[in-house]
Amino acid sequence: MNEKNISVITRRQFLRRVGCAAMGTAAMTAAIRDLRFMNAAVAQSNITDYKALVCIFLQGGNDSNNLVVPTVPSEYNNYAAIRTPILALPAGSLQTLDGYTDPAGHTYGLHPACPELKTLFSEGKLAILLNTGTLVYPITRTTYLNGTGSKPPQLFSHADQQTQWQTSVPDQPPTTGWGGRCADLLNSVNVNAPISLSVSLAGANTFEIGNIVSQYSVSTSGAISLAGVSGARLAALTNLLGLSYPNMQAQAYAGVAAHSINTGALLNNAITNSAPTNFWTNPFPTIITTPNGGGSFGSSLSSQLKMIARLIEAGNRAAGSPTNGFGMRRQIFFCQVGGYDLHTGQTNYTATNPNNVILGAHANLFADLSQSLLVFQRAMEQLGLQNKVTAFTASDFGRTFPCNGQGSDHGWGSHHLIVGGAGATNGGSVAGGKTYGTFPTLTVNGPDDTGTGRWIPTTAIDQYFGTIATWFGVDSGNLATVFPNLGRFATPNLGFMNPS
Amino acid sequence: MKKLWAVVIAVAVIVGIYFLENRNSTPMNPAARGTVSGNNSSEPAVPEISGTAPAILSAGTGANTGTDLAARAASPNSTPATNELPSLPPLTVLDNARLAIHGYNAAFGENPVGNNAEITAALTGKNPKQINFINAESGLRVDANGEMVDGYGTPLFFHQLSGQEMEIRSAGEDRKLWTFDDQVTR
Repeated sequence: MNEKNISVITRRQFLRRVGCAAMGTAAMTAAIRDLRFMNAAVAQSNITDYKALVCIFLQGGNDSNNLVVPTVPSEYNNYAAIRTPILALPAGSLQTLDGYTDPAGHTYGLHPACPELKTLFSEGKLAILLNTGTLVYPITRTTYLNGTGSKPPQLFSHADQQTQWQTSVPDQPPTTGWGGRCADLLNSVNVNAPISLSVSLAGANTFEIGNIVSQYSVSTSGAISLAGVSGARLAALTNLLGLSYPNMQAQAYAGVAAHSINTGALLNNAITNSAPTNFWTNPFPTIITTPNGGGSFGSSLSSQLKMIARLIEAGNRAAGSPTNGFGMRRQIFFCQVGGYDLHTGQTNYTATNPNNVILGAHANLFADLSQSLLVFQRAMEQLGLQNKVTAFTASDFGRTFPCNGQGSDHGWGSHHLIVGGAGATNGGSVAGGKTYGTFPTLTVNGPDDTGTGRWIPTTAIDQYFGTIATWFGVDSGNLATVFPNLGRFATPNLGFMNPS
Repeated sequence: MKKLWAVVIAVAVIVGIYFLENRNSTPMNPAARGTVSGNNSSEPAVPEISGTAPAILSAGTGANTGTDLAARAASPNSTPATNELPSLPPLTVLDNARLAIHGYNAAFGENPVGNNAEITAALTGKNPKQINFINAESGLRVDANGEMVDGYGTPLFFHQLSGQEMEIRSAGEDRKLWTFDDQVTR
């Protein structure tokens, strides 16, 4: 009888049952993960110092082939031969990292628009991570080409790679970002914090999505307030929201709205003193001028980093009267700059003005990044928080090494920057003045190439971000919870962060 | 009886004329209309393509693998009989590329990834089910580098916005990407 019943299960019934089982399993998995986070959060609650992370997302895919250029003559000549003429930066224009040779014998120069990054590197406050990218498992050119290597899904696609960089779990559907998971884990150390641990200067983002902690968006001028509501109107609205409502939904909405208004007012009050330009020893520039005769333009990044500096100042300040700070121990920030998707117009090179290869859209973006990062670092030094704040870059992907005629196309592995600390010789938090990871062989169809000058990453972003998260306070027992794929890679800690 | 034969012959002639006229026409897929943008309001004539003529992708239901494609592209003499098919207007060819991507997405839930050659290989059989998403009437052709070309013979540019959205760019009549006459579809 039972056998008969089993045999008459239709395909539709089977699918329905399997679907229910799958949904139940997924829910249970999520519940277990949340419980794990709760337990882990309790275990992490012994933190008493202050630290902040600042993620600078270079949206569109940065061509880091022109951020870090090899200067060993044979390597430079190879670089110039392949990138010529549109993308080949002249050797004499590079900001050379004097006195530094990496363990493999490479020497480097930075883009001519980045003298500030050279300064940070020479002070030991900038570390460079070479050829990092999204990976599911370690992969080689051979396993990439023969199909036996596991590749992240939707390589070379903007939206997917942005998401994977921000979740650091490329082989699973995105549910949380790694910043959000860190926030979930560490949120309990922010006792009675008036604002969220996760703050975004660029609106909603995947990086800060957590299961417990919600991201709080602010603008470059402070908390986002109700448009056209101030003075008597605001007082009247606040009174209305304070009333009791018989409808539960109305009551809940009134509570959320009132909390939002109060939080915004509290935040704006707390950052008032750091608003004036002269508060900062090295003022944040509102206008960036690209060196070597480039143009001037308003800087979005500088404005975002200034607000982050102000929120760090307030976040680290003790709570309560008379200081009116937030008294927080951990903060995570996200900011973003667009315009890096330079398939065309990457440089101003023309046949009649070949020297203009060092100018153009990419040079402007690098000038903005370089100048803004230096001022931000100086601001942290002014606050005495240089060893407590780490800024780092992320981007969709690198770009193709050969020129497409007017720019570069979507690639994979790329070089990234980690800024912070008091300098390598002063025991700074960032072990700067060095490169980490492996510089790719800049040869089309070479050992690091998928086939068209897209570098196969030799360091996973899991390792990159795992190193930062460890410094931030995620202990070794919880690292696999935040970075579930980290164990697939040989070196979970890349060593560019010192405990502090 | 003679009248009957006359009617039969007349019908045969009419059917023959109708068949020949249909064969020479280039009907546009209704789904393709209104989805391609370009700076030229009127469709330019297809210029003569110099050099090795790209092979027209043959129809198939899985037999045409990426390896076959590459081999065929490398050997001009192996141009299939479908080469006799007439050229389609460039905008129609571009839109047929869009439809091929949509077909792939419908089959696998996501777009193919990679550069032109990799996407072309995926669309012509180098995919988990070895499905060929290009039919002979699409006007889509592949050059000696295994890259799908537009109606002017220039490789298409596939800009991967997300796993579900692909921007396909034709260099247009001037055969230079990122110029005023580029034609773009998604």
